[in-house]
Amino acid sequence: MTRVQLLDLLKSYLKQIAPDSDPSALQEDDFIKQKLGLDSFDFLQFIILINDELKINIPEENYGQVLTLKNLSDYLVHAGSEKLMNT
Amino acid sequence: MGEFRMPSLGSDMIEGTLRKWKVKKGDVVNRGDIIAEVETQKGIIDIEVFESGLIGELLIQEDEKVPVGTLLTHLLPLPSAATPIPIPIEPILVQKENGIVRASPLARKMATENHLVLENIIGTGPEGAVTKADVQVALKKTKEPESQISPTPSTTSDIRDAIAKAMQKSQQEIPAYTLRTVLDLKPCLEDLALRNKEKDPKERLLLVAPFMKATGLALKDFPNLNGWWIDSFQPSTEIILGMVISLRSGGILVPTIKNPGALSLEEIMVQVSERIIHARSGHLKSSEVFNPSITMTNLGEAGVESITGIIYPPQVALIATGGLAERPWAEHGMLTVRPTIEFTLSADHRATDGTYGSQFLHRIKEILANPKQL
Repeated sequence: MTRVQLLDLLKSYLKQIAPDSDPSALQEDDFIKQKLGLDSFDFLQFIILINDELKINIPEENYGQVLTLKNLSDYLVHAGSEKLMNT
Repeated sequence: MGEFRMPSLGSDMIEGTLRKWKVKKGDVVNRGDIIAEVETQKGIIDIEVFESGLIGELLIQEDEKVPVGTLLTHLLPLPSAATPIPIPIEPILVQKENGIVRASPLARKMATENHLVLENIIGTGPEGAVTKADVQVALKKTKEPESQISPTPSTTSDIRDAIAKAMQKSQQEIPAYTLRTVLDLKPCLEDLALRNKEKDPKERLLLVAPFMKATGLALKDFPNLNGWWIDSFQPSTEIILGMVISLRSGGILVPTIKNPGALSLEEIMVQVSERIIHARSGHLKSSEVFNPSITMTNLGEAGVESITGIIYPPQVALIATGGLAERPWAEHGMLTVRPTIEFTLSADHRATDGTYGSQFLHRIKEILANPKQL
């Protein structure tokens, strides 16, 4: 999976969680929660979806490292490089 | 035979529109099955049945607006054994009333219940007997002028309308007092982090769970904040905590959690998750929107520090939590920085006084300072 594909995938997850938001307009450095108006519950749903689909469990203490798409995609590539690159 | 009527989903609900039947005559339903979608001022609610049975004649058509308590259908007893389920056949009793009218017992009963004169109903049964279907036709005719059929659901504006009425009533009628307190959330956050450490993302807890449990526990000692003001204070026997959920399309819905003090944090979280998902997808169930006896709201995520909430009448109290923020914190003569949150209580001064309210807030504070006991 290329980085662009990963970003698109993450945006599609966000669209699932908040259907009336517009994740396609999200820039890599935007804070995801604030930009899309997500609350803690939505953000947890996002973490759950990542866990279910990509099989990468982001522990709560690492939430601070995944607040933007850029940080999140770096984190995911680092945490599950094999899984992501082979899919 | 059970009766299934338009349920009341709150003391302010006077009517509902049956938007969709999920069953048809003769269907077998089990307790908890969703049999209809009803549009109320609280949005579209999935209506569950509370007993098993066989669905009788559907007495109300889709898109018909009827008052709370209107008979929608009957729940007939299930036939024993697993034989094919027969549609109940209505026995026609060829019997004369006043020497003129023939009618089936069911038709007679329905006509009496609905104040219809049998003589005025055209019978289509044997020998011109009035049947249940004839009574239904007659009933429908009497209802037509007042029934409002709107072609498309207008849930958002209905919700807006309901909020407008309730908030205006609150401001005009409730002499509310407001109390604030700032809580040191360090113990609570540490406890939550510890609980979540080993948990799968699906099972992780959010702050709302300890907040709700603490509120439920504290209310046991402060029953005068838990109930309704209807000419005088009427305490609620149960704690039915309403949780305000904002809809992205605008408006709010207030599903409820029953007796949160008696639930584990995990159980509260499961219920909260279900209700948020159901509310935002427009499929709250009738069992998720019981009449709240007190309400809790949280706007902290929107970036505000505190809220002066407006009580939802006829309730007498509303608890609001602001945003999580680091604040300078003085304790034992030392100044440190702590994660904090502001709790606000808005309460009806007719039901309680400020001292009572402040003791209640203090109790919540005590409980959350010792989160391991939750």
